[in-house]
Amino acid sequence: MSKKVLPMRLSAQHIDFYYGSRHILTDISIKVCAGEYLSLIGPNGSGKSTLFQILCGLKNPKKGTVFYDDEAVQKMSARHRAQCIAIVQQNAKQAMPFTCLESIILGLHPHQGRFDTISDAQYGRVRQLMELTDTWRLSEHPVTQLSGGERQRVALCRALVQEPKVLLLDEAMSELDIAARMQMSGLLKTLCADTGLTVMAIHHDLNLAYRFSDKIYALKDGRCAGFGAPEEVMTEELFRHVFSVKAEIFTNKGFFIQNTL
Amino acid sequence: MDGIQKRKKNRCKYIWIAFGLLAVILLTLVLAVGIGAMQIGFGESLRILWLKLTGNALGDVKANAIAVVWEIRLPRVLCGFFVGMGLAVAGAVFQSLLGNPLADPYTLGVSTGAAFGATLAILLNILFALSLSTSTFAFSFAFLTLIIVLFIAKRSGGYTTNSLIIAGIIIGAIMSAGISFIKMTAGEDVSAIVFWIMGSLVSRQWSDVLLVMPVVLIAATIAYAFANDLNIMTLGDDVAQSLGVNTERIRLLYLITGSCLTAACVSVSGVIGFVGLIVPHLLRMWLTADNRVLIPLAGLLGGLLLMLADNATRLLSSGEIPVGVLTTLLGGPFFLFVFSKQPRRQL
Repeated sequence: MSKKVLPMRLSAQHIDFYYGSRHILTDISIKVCAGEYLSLIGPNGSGKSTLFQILCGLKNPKKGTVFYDDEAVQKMSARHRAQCIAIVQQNAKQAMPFTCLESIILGLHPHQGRFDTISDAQYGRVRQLMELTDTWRLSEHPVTQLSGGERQRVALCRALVQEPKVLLLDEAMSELDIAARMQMSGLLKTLCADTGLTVMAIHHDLNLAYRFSDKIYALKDGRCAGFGAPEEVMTEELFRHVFSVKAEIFTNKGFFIQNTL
Repeated sequence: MDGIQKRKKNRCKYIWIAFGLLAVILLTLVLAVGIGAMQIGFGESLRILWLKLTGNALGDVKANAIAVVWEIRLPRVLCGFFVGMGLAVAGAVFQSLLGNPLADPYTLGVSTGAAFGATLAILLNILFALSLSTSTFAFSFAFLTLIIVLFIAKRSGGYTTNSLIIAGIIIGAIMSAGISFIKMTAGEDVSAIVFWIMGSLVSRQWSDVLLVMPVVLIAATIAYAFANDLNIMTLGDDVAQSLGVNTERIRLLYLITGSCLTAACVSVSGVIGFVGLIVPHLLRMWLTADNRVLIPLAGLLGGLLLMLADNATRLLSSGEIPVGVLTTLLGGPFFLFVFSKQPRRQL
């Protein structure tokens, strides 16, 4: 698979993170290029979410640095960072009864001055993204009355409206049904190819990760357990070592989990 | 009509509502300064106000009419307006900030602090025949309470919703106990304290207007200017930060702004219930949760409602029910009625 050389987008070198004496992440290095779709996999408590929070600047690593292009993420201004990196988390809830449209429009914030009005071009883009994520039909519904899946669609759409170069999805599709997950992943994949968006996703659906990712990064106990193309990383050995299950691999198709060890 | 066109149309609608409210407010103000034991006609009131504002001589107007309109009724009416405005804006701010539609300006205990300060001033005045200003005491203690609440919240895990509410409840309870103690000490003179706490605008003067008006106007402007950041804060801290909002700074800004509003209002009027809870809540139910719309409209509607309620107490009861009692007495059932009409709304 020798594609054209893509420019580096986000990279982290030798990241350490711990609370007191409890090590969460140890010596993590990760690189992702423009237009790539990377999945982060690993069992519960392996440090996936913490790594994402460090990558998008919500947490500072105890050691090591994260770079967006050539800039240190932890030193970027909040606004500038918001123009480059967006994160969607699993249980995104909004306490106040904003309509879906109002809630999604908040994604324009990093690109707007304090008293700017929204231009027709921006409205057009919001509408387009809402149609693509199937939230347009919900535009006048209060977000407080949405189902879990709908809420996740709205959160995803808001993050896309934010126009980031890097989109981090922390189990952002966990409550979508399988068809919707495939459709969303397909949409993201298209955006990667067309606009050079970089997607990094935490998936518990390993078949989905296998199918849609350009690269897989496996974490276990806060350490790297494999990094590379899906077919290189997701081996029977990895399933046994990282997830403690026995799996049968069907090359280029997916895998079947047989039983726990 | 799709959602976006509707949104654009609604923006225009909100501006018209604001102008409509403003017109009703001005009308009510002129009427209110004319009505009472001494009846002054609408035209006459308008003329007195106009001549006073433009600094002209009031040659042929009766001196006692001028005194009643300008020195007695107008300060009270204005106090009512600005207190209502301040409470409603503070309510909108605290509801969004704490992510709880049932929060109100008094949730953080700032009002109980103010009441404690006022109670203390009344007691000292009685005991030592002093003439300490209750509003200054109230304002200072409200601020002291805010600082203590922030300090406790900060030490127990940052300015999160829970730590703020818990700190507010604890400090509020301590201050309440303090008030009870002072009431006991005051013995027979307890009624002055009880009346102050119930919330009233009787015989407010220009000095009260000059305390509450600047604070409310400045704080409401700040609240409006950062309203979109407040909108984003309702998405939760992580999302807000990833949208470029400095959550620590915005939270502190709004905590101080909201508490200043509450402190100023409580200092001049005592604890007037329900305006700060109902007004933003209803507007959010009827119009939108967008704070850029909600904050200005809540301010206007809150001001108007309290002005009307105060005039109702002034005109309907000879003994003058405290307006704080009336707002809760009427506001509570009304709120229940509206609330039961909205079965699918979540709290």
